[in-house]
Amino acid sequence: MARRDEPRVGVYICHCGINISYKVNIEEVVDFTSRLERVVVARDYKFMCSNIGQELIINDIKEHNLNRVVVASCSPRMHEKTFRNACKKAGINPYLFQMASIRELVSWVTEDEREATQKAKDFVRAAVRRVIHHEPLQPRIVDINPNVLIIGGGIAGMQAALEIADAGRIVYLVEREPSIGGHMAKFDKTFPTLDCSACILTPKMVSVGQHENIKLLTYSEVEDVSGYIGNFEVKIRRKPSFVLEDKCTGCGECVKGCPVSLPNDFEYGLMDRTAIYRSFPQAVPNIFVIDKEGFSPCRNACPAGLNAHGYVKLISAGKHEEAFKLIMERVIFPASLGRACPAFCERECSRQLAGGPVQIRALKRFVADWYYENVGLEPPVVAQEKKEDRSVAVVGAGPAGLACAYYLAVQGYPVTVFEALEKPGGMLRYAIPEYRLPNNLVDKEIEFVKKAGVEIVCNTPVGKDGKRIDELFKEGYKAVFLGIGAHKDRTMGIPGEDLKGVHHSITFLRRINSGERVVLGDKVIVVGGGNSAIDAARAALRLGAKDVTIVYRRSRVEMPAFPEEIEAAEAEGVKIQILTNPVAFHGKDGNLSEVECVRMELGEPDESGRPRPIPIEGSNFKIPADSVILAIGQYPDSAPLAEDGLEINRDGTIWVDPETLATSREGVFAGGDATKGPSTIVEAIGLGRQAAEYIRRFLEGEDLKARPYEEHWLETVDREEVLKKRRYEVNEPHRPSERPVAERIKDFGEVELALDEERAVEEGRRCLDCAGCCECRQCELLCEANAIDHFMKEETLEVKVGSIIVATGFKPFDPSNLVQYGYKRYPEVYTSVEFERLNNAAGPTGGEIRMKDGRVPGRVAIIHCVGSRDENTNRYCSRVCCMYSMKFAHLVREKTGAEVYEFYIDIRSPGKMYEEFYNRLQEEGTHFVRGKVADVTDVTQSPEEEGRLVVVAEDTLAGKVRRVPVDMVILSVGLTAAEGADKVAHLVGISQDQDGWFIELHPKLAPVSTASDGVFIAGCCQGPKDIPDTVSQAAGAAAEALSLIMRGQVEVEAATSYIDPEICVGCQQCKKICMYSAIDYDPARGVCVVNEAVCKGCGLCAATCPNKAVTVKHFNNEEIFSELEGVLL
Amino acid sequence: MEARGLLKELLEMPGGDQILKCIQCGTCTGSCPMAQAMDYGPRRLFAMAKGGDFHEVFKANTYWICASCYFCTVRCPRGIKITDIMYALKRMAVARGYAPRERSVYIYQAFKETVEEYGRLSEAKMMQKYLKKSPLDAVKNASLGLKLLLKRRMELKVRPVKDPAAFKAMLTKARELAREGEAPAGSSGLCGIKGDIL
Repeated sequence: MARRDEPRVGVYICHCGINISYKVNIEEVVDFTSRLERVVVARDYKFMCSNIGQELIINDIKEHNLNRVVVASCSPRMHEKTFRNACKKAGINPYLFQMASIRELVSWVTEDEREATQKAKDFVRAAVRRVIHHEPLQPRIVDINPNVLIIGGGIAGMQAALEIADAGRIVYLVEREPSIGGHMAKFDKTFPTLDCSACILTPKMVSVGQHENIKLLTYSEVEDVSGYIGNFEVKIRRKPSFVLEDKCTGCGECVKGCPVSLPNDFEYGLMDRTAIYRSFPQAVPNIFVIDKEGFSPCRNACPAGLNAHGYVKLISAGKHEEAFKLIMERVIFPASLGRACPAFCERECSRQLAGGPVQIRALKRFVADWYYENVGLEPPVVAQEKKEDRSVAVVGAGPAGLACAYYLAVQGYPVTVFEALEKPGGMLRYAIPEYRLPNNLVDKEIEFVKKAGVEIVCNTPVGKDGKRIDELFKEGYKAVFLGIGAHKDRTMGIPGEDLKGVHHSITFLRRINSGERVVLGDKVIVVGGGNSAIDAARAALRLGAKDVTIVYRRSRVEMPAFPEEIEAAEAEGVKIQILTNPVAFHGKDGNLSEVECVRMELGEPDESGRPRPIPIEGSNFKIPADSVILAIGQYPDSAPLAEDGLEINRDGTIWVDPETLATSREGVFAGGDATKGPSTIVEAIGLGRQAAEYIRRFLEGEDLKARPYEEHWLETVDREEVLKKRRYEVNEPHRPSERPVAERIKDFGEVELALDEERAVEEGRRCLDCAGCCECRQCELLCEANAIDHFMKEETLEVKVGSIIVATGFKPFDPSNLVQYGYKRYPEVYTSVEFERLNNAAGPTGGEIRMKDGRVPGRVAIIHCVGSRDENTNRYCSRVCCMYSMKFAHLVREKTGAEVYEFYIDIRSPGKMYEEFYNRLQEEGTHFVRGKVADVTDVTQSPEEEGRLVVVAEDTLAGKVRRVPVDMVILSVGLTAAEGADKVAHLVGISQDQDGWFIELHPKLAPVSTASDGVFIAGCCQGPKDIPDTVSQAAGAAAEALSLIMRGQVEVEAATSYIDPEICVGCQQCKKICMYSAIDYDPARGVCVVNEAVCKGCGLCAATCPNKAVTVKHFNNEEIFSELEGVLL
Repeated sequence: MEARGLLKELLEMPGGDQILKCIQCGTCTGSCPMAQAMDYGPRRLFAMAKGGDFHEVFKANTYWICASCYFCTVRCPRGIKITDIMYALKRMAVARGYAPRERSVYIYQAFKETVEEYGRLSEAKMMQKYLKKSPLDAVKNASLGLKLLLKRRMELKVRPVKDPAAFKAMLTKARELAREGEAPAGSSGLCGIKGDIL
């Protein structure tokens, strides 16, 4: 420790004009002070901060050999620096100075003069006691990185960027929208000069875009800021635009192919845009972006990952062939799926909450039928080179096997499918009755698969009783896929199951699907609650049964069959008896005559999660029946394969790795019902396609698990959010019609009829484009520059800068909650920003002021102070609304000749040529009505008001309530803090006021600086302001940043933490709590060390250290306790 | 009384000081469904009160006509509880003997008298008292009254509170307190307690 000189303190009491002296008896304080210990001189002066005041201190230091100084005046925030510099000039260390606040903390806030004087004395005494313990500190010098980060690419950010870039420094300009330009790019004219906004803005935008010193980062957001003045480290998230910036030429061809329609945010939803878009024609950078918010719910609901959103939109655009191709990328058998898929997609469709789901399944049926009819059975694939040496054997010609075969074949692998039964198709052919899926259609779709190069060999079982797997490999197949399905019926194992008249569903369905007319009799009981029970029951009706009853052991909600199927069965007359289970079948002469059942009740949930059915003892009863069909489940006939070296699960399914679908035997894969147990066609096809991919990797010698199966996958978008953002009508779906019940139960003809093209297209249009982009990839085909990359990923960029300018702008006030103005209720009520677009030559009407019905308005009302000067919304005046409202009035009169009524509270026109503009408007004949509007209504009281909106307000100058009928109402909405302003404030460490605006360091003298050194603010993020003020502020902020750069180095606070290595035990608690990562652990010495360049002197470590090894310089215990004593004495 | 004293009295009444926040925008009058029938809308009334023209304020029928719909209060951009101030002004006017020959005044009187007598409202009694003061209305509304009776929408039987005497004692005490200058808490909405001349 340095030797301490005997402290000699000089104390200076400031009058601050009369700010302090009107409450504090200065003379008394000086007198009191001069008698304090260690005080050598005590003086007062009217303005201590003036040059004369400072000279006084400097002279005293020299004359009286002072080594400590106390000034009692305003506050350290105002003048600590001033007096520290004075000390420095006089040759003493600036940290040997202490300030007592007797203005902010005393004279301004204490009413009683006596109390004020006493308080001032206490504070001076505290400062004197403290300053005695002060130690000289050396401020640290840090280098300034000359690069600058600017957040926000509106006019403020652009202006600041240009100023700095022109001075030869590098600027990173980060803008979250796809283009720079901000709000100004949306305006048509600017007040009061009425020059064209675009004309003055676009040259600047182009300069920014082309400047070699400006690194323009659009569609990007700042994610993290660390470091300190001169040395910030910034992480910038670059959102995927799905368009390669360096390739896109901005030609706009892509837009022509996009079938998606979304509200255009740039036009405030006044018109729609496509998913691939450019905000406006003069956008900088002049490139397109794709609005892709995730995957649509339908797409992620599909077990096969089929992009329903994509093909639905293509159908809506009349691009049926393209839609079919998109489907074929993911599934085969589209016509079959279009009839018999349970459509998991429709259950997740956002339209479920808005009229009814888009009829996705029916649309698939439509487009598949259309393709087969208009194009034929040619697969839409490009022929691949045959890979003869890598042939694959597929066992089972059902949906899983054929999907696997198809996707391998289209990639050039020779595939042979071995089918045990007489004809291919599996469950499609043999389990789904023809009223749902006609067999000739299955034939057609199998033909289609064959055309892709798949060879099918029937009547060839594989396994113990047929061809062995070893044989397949010997014959030269390099891989085998097992898609054997689940064809074995489960039996109940109860008495009488072998009676004539007792059928099992899979066998039963196979018989009728093979064309046999099974004789069932009049009364048929179907046992089971799954889809095959329903199929069996409905088939039984068609075979002539008079009375068909489904008996199920749990209750209705537990029935695994799909609800639509159950409803259709009931509509056809099938009865359902729940909580009932057969216990025996009784017969006469070997023929079934009665089914003995027992009543069940529901117990605790079992391992399937459903309540366990428990028989009620003694509740047995008998139902007479001619036939019974047991539909209690099926399982794969996998036993013969076990002997071929495959591991079989307990339930009879083949064991596979769930990711790769590889079985326990190398080169053998399996999927579909064979591995999952009975499921759906779409799941089987999905697994077949998945197996094809892993077989391909296997054949090519790739690491199977190196990449996931779905390499391109995005989160599902939130349905509620979608419904909030989209504009739509709640309407009924175009459901496919059905044949009447009485007619359809007589035969096996199809129940459901197809949608015609017109209705299909209409139905496609109901899609809400949940995900934004539907990934139909039409844009890819149109883009000659190959600039589109649908798989683009988000990137994070790290840059180092020395200063930051925040210019994040504002958000227009949303008047939806001010119901009295009718916004969103009456179509002719616009916000001012919407009107800017309506009036803009590049806007939705090409700059013509037209009502939504195309008429030119005859009378227009402009309502001021909407969302400003109002305790219910924002208390502040938004400053720009009066002026832009008058600009609107002028433009409306000029373009339409309409009568314009300005309803205002006060006209605020302070600014160069502003009042003159107001006068000009008055002379033009605009009606100025002084009164805040009470109501905008369509309830009329006179013929003149008929068909118009009536604006009700008191004309306060005339003292009369007026009802003014108008055609159009413009709400002059105020400015509010930008969305995400809080996040930005938190990132860069600046604070917001109660309204969300960023707080400047000093409202008058440091308007663009902030409490965070090296961070500056410009434009509306600091508070509402017009373009001239914004530009001035931006230039000011740029000057501040440049000034910092020119200095090259800057002094930073010396009051940092210090860890005494003698006391530190290396527990590292301080390291954990430090927010600035300023503490490192030195393992060699076993102690923690403070990095002074990063330390902010916050003191958290000092408070945390259990050993009191940490001191914060300038705030050590001695200093703080002495000061406290001084106050409390 | 001096205008300044009157303004001070108004400012001291619950919510009365809010009148100083008024920026004369006219939202209240524009929103008022009764403005047509008023001598002055609320905005002008406040301007006159702030300006000290209480003679005109007390003569006005504004607060007698106010339907207490609260439209003005909900919309006021300064957050002034305008309806409350209407009550305050009414009390001040009443205390000074201003009660214009308005039917609405008779209604208030009839209401108050009925409640005082029975401790709760009896519509039939109240109408009886009102029609005594405004007999012409009896003729005009005879058929309506008959219809209400036939549809059992008006009960003739009076059902007083359990102990009307105790209720009266409470009112008397409240009046005493008011005269001592300590307005009982929550009295802002109770018409005619402070200066009881009705």
